[in-house]
Amino acid sequence: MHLIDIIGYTIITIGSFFILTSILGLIRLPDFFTKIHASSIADSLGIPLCLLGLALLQHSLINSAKILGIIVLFFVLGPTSSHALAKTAWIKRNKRQ
Amino acid sequence: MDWLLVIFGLLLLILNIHISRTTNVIPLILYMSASSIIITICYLLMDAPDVAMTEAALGACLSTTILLCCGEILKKENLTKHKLSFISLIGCITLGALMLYAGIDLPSYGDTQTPLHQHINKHFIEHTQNDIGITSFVAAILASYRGYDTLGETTVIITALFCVFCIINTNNQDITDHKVGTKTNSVILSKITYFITLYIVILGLYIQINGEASPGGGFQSGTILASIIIARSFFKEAIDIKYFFYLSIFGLLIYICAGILPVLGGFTFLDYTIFSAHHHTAQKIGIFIIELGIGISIFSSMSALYFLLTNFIRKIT
Repeated sequence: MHLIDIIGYTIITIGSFFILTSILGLIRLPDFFTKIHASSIADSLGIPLCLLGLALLQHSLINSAKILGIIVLFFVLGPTSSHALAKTAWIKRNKRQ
Repeated sequence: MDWLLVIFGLLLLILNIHISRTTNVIPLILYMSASSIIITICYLLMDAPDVAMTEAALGACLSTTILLCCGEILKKENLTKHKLSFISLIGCITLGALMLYAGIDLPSYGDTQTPLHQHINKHFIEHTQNDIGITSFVAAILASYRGYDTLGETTVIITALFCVFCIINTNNQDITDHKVGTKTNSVILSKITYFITLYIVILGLYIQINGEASPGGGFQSGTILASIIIARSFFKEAIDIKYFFYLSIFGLLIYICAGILPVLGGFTFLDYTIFSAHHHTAQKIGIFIIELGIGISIFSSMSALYFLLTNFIRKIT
């Protein structure tokens, strides 16, 4: 096992710790808006770290480049989905009152 | 990875029992999406990435989108919770036990000595590299050895689109004349959609062209490209639905042309050897043409299905 394999596996473990944190927050936090914050942690930090570890484990550079492209996609679309959820909930709550 | 498959199978079982006992509509739709995601993981664990990609795109994403639009009207009604009936419980348990008893005689998972793997699959695995020259067995069987069945599959999807259209078009107003789509006033969402469109077009075309070498092909890329149209419909006036109908028939026509041209040249239907002198190049050209036809028709069918169903829901609410 080379050094870069060990680094890759470590980063995947750190990423899965963040995903576990997000799941814990999703279950334990009280309100809808706080739950959106908890779920966005997995989208913006947990999954990109796991993908970075996978990119380090690949045997060819082209596969790593493709995985880094997917990480860019998550960085753009993760906060967008949280924003869409929060904005819709805010509008519906204001309409209800 | 057998134990991981068993764990996900049990999770799927528990989730589906929970689905059948839920009465709130929006959590029900999300549980069905989660069930699709779990079965995608099961397909990946069983070494079937083509099926996993199609299930993720259609089951977890497109079906959930359409069902969430339908969930808006169902929210007002209460789904009734059925009481547990003793006779039906006995019937279900008996049927399940009979099926399990019949399943004892089936071959175990991954057994290579069954007749299925000895004759026809062995022929495909041994002769694909010589006959067709592409690395993906699935694409070789789908597009070349059994290309006639794939023609039937594409026709089925277009027929489903037209059946939905015939059922929905009931009020004597032609639904294809309306430009559909709602407008949202969010600046962030419109700018992000504008940015991400090019990215997803490149991803869709990459999956379309790489159908021969890696998991992908026309079906998956058609769905991914349809998601762009669905996302853009929230911010811009969408195209008339009737252009999607024409485009789906056009895709099927491309497929049929790849079959008729050999007949005009003296070969049989869907025989790709007319396209080039060298055998492998001819197969690759033929597969490229039919994947193009499949991609175009699936793209337009999925977009038109989304617009028909959600526009119908908006009209009756």
